[in-house]
Amino acid sequence: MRILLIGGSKSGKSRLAQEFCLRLDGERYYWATMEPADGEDRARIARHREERAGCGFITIEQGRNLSAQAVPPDAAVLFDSVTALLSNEMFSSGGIDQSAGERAGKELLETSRRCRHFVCVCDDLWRDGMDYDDATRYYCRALAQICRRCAEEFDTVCEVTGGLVRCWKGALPE
Amino acid sequence: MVLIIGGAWQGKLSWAIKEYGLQPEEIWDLEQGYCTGYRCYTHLEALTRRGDTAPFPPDAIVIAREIGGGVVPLNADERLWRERHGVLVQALAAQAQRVVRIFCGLPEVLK
Repeated sequence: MRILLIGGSKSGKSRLAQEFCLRLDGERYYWATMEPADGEDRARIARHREERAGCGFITIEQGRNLSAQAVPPDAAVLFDSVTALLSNEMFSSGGIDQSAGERAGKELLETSRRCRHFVCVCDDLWRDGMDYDDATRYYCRALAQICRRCAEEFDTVCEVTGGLVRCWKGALPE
Repeated sequence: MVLIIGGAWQGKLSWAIKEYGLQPEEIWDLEQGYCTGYRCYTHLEALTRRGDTAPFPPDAIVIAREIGGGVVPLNADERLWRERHGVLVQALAAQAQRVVRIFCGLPEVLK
């Protein structure tokens, strides 16, 4: 089963993704994508890792150039997040990598197809009416395109707000 | 009238083309001003940004981006644009027979 959860920042999507993963079978993996920029990031990562350890998640860290071989085929993967993946792929070269959206989308879909279960989260960045600079606009558009590609073939697509879920496609794991 | 709303790049026009079998020559982009005689009008936010109004035909398919989902900007022009846009979207939604919101390429019929 593959699930895409989309919501604003701090909407509760990561917590819900974890909850849904726990309802699924298979060995549970937490796929972290954040590439720490400073001590604050490192502290947050350490805290999250501790929180998940108690739930039986094995953490792997790979923020770009995804390879499905990183997890066994019977894994139930919580992928957090599409937002960070695209940011790493698009901006970590220094400039803007215009092919990042296409590449990240392909990597994400191919990885998801090889997992037994795949639950991923993404930020909702598309409804604020802001006129961003070219780089940010390019990023927001590519992120929307990746999500639409996922939505086409995933079983379940949800919007999250206030820790609550609205299913746009499919159903949640029982 | 049919009103289709949703965030940026959510696939609103793609969905309308599929749902209503629209041909390219039936679609008018409001970025280019207003022009009568089309079946579908897209980018309503470009029209409201200019402060224009348009006499959409009663059977038109109108596509509007949601722009009010962020912090209200300090800049007065930006604020007034959101105000004009929100008010027009509400008016169109009130008169439309069908209102559909698109999220991630997926439709939800609101009316």
